[in-house]
Amino acid sequence: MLTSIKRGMRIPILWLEGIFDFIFGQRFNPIYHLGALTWFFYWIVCFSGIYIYILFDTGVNNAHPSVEWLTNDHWWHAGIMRSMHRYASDAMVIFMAVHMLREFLLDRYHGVRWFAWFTGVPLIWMLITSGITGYWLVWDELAQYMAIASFEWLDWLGIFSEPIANNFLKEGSLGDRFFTLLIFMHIFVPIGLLFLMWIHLLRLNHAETTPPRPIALGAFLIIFLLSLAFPVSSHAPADLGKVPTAVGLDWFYMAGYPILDLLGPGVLWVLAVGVSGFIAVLPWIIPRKPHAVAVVDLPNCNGCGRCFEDCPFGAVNMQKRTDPDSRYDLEAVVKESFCTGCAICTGSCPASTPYRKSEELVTGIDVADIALTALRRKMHSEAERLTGKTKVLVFGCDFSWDAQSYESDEVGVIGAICIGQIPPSFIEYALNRCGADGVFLRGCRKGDCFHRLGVYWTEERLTGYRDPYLRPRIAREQVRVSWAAPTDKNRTAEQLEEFKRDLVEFKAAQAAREAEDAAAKVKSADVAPAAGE
Amino acid sequence: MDVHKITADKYFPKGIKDSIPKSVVIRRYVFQAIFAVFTMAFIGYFSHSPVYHPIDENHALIKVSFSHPGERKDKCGKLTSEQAKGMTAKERVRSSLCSRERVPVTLKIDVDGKTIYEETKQPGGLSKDGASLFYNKDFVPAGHHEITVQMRDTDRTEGFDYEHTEKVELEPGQNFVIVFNDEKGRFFVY
Repeated sequence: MLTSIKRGMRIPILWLEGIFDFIFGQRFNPIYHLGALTWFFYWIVCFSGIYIYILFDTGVNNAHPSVEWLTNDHWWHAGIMRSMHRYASDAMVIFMAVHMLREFLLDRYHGVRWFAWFTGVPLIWMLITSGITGYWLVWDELAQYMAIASFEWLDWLGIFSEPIANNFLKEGSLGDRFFTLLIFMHIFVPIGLLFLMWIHLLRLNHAETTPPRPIALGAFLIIFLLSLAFPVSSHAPADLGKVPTAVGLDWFYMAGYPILDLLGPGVLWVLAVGVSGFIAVLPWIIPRKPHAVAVVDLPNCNGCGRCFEDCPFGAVNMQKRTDPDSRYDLEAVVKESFCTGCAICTGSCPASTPYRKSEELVTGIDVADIALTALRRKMHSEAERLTGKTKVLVFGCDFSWDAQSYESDEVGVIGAICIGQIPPSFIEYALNRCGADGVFLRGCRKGDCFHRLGVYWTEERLTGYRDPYLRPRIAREQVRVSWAAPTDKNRTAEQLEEFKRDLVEFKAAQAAREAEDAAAKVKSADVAPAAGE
Repeated sequence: MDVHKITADKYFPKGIKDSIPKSVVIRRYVFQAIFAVFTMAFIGYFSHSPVYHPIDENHALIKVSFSHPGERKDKCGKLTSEQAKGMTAKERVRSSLCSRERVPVTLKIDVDGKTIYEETKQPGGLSKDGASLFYNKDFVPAGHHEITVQMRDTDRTEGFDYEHTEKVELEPGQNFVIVFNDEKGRFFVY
């Protein structure tokens, strides 16, 4: 059932991403940088938190007046910082939630990718705890309501000899010492959160923790302008002799409190632990179909380390050579439990060249699901099949499209595990040896690569920023890329048609140029003897 | 040719660069502004709204919170000289030892003659030798009330060992607290 829900929701989310692509452009679409944005908001929260802490009085009787002072008397710096602290914290919850939902719907959480998902669950608890402990420090009616309710919830576990909530029993119950403990909680829980955020990314290579500058600027402006327009204010000071009758909850952090009041602490514990536990074990409830992992072929590995550098999941390590006769110092080794079988390493291997004469194309590192030799074979068979006027070979990843739908007498399709699996030499080979007029690369939307980095690496290889790169002598007019999702099928078809038209023009221009060159050559040949006479 | 100096835009005029027709640019900025305003409104509103009412405005809270040990389950008494006759010192101590276990404590709260809370709490600790813990909240309409608290901490089956009655005028939103002071052996209200 979960799989059906997921599939049903995947299309709307891809449409939504498409709309955002239009609004922001693929490169700066915030949906593709949700995790990095959460990090960015964390730093805003940290910086603003340290700033207001400097002006904050930590005594239980002085906390509220000091917050009021910095909010009202010093609104132009400390007040804005306080508002930014609040709103950036809220944004963290929103972006974290959407990030998690999206990774779930787009199937990026199971198999060997379980680690980031699993470690993300305690992050939710840590983030919510960080936020809640922060609200206590204002020590207003909201803080009073939350602190009592929170500790009543903890007391329900029955692990404390005396109820912690007794610290808030009546006026005078709460001392400076306990209040200082609350302050420490608000400092150490966010530090723990940062540590866990680091753990969360441990199995990702080139993890993005900073969003692209325009997105970061936009996010900052949203928080800053919101802080200016709607500065945060406090409730009345806490009064333990009274029960707050109306509190303006921050629903991003406090949605659990009405449930606590309505259903009681036991039910909330069951819900909180049950839902978290269910989310945590999702990677094993809906297992992914098994896939092959990358295998290193030592005779073809020169230990260059490109696969180590390019692997999005840190599955490739470099170690001292194990074959004693080798002239190289290092060799690549694959950690199978980390490998998603994306074959981006194959695309990065300098030995992955189709020009080799052997029947079976064996490269330094390869994935059996669609091995390099199968790709070359398919490229040949597709090229031979084409009878149309303009021959285009399309390389496309299995995640971004339904490959077969583009096949025609002019278009041959070669499916890959990820577009990053295609070494640039294959493009050159397709044009020079297979008789293709053009090569069309189709991968996931930029920033949305299922295997994280396939599209980025492909772009960098094509533009010469990354080894192995497409040689400059290849006419760029003969290569076209399309980064799109399955919902962009029609747009890709249009791009493909446009490419074919451009190729016709290119071929005509090339023929004209060749004719001109030939004519010039003949002319110079006629002139040369005359000059010699 | 130094390929590392070739930019994506120059190298791939179509395809790699997001192709943005000029007519679309303004529309994009408008949509981006709308998105920003929507995000601000969403965060700004739900960060303190809608207002939540943990308690009805015309109600007050009666909270009881204290821990109190019931009496020991077995009575401990010293041996009479006749009983101790012939025993070694060690035997005398051992035979005078009694169980650490305590009896459960029962608490009952009546408001205007109507019971709003009655519960028997087991003693804490693995050996059931600790105090019984009470923590309870009840909301009652504000106004004049007669509140009676009764507690039983012995093995008697009927009646109570402690009782306290208070006539109070509860204000809306008041936090009325009932505690038991072990040292003074009686209830206190705040």
